[in-house]
Amino acid sequence: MSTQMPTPGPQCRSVSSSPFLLSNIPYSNHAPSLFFGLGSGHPFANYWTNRGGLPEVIGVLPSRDQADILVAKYFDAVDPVYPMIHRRNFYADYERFWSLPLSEKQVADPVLLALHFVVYAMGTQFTQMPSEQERAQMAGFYASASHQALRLSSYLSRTSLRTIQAMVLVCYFLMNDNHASDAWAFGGVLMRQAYAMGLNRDPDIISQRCSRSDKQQRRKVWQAVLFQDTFLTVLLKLPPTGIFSDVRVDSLTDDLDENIMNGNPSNGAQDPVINPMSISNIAPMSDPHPPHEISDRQYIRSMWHLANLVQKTVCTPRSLSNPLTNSMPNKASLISSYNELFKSFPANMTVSDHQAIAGLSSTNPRLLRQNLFFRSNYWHCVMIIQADVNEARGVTCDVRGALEAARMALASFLDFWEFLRVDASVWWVFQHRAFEEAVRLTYSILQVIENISCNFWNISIDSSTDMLR
Amino acid sequence: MARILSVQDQPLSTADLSQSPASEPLSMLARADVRRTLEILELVGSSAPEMQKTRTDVLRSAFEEIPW
Repeated sequence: MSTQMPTPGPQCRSVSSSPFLLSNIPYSNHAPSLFFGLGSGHPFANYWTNRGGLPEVIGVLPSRDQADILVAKYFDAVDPVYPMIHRRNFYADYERFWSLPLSEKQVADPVLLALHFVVYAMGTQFTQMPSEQERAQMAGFYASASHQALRLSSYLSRTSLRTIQAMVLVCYFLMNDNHASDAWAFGGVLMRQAYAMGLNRDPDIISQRCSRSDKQQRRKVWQAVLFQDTFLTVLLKLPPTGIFSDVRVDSLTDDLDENIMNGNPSNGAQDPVINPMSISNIAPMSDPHPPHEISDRQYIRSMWHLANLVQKTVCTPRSLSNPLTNSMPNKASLISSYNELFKSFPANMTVSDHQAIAGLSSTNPRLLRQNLFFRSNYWHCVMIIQADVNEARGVTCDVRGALEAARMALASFLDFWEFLRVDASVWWVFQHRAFEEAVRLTYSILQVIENISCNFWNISIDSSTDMLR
Repeated sequence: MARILSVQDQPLSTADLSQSPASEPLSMLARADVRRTLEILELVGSSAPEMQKTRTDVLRSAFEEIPW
């Protein structure tokens, strides 16, 4: 039986090396390089005039009915997996904005418009339309309006929690729109701005005057920034950026009393930031949180713990072309760390048997989405570690472990396709992980057949090199 | 499956290959997963045909290396 492995290009031979690293670009090459082979044009089409200002952006709003549908779609498809927007506050601002006369809309906060438009853009991405091209154009148009609103807000020199939320979503929009290169670059600006506003710092230390609600919101948004940075880094094999933080995962507690405020501080806590025009005062509600708030927080903490571990054990060594482990016991210990973390997560987050997944699809699609995203990310990283090779230190690929982990990761994609097909067809991150897992699986089978050397990175590089071409 | 999964306990040897891996359940399952993934990746991403083609070409050419 004879099989031939594809041979990686000579420029990509080194183990664990990334073809995307700037250091791989010949110094003599002064022409701009397309890093990932994706998205050759600027992602935000320029429909805007110099003097158009915010009125021009307001002028391209969808109808209210259409906007309602897109926002609902956003909260249905995107919010479960990246729950960083306080739904009640979002809707309060949204209702208030839409109730304004045109003249007042035109002087609204441009960042509010940026957030609304990117929500419309993502809602459009997950809306079924007869033509995929039409859907992409419509979504791109809303994204362009969002970017223009960000520009009008001077987002490079002024930032806010809402700005960061809008930018996180712009990044995901770009990935889903096959602009991974642009998402990587935009994410860099996003991280700098998050640092600039101290989002990486423990709000109990640097934002003592914030309400408890605002502190929790800051933690959620920081987690979203960190999570995006970490797992995009896994796919692109570039250095992680969100590495400086003292926000503790467990500081995002399940305490839902945080919104008892505005002159009614409970448990003796002082809450000096009392806004008489806040939604809590204008329209007090007995239950400010949606019913899934607690399970959302469990999900956020789970992904946060995972991101912290992955950043340290996968992203950082890979970004410098280093092996992940330096001995077989070290590899076993690392896998054990992942196993321990896995056991600490809620069972409904990790369950993978088909009957349970089918049950979630009919009873709790929000939880199903969270389950699928967790499993995909977790098992993908376990696969990478199992496939790790460090020849100098005697670390070999664990074919069995890599094959099993790849199958577990891929199972989440196949479940996604079976139960949430539209979503599965949109999320670039999920598709690309599945692609890498399928390639890994194929080569694991071939390894069994051919007793070939195990080098997952070369496999990835083969693929990536093709993309560069 | 057990035999394939035990390859890490001993060097991958031709003894393991005396039977077609096609008879091994895990290999069969893995192969089916890859085939299914390839089918799906051929359906998604049509708005970025170059990306779609690259992914599917890479995966298909690897998949076709499996001799059974």
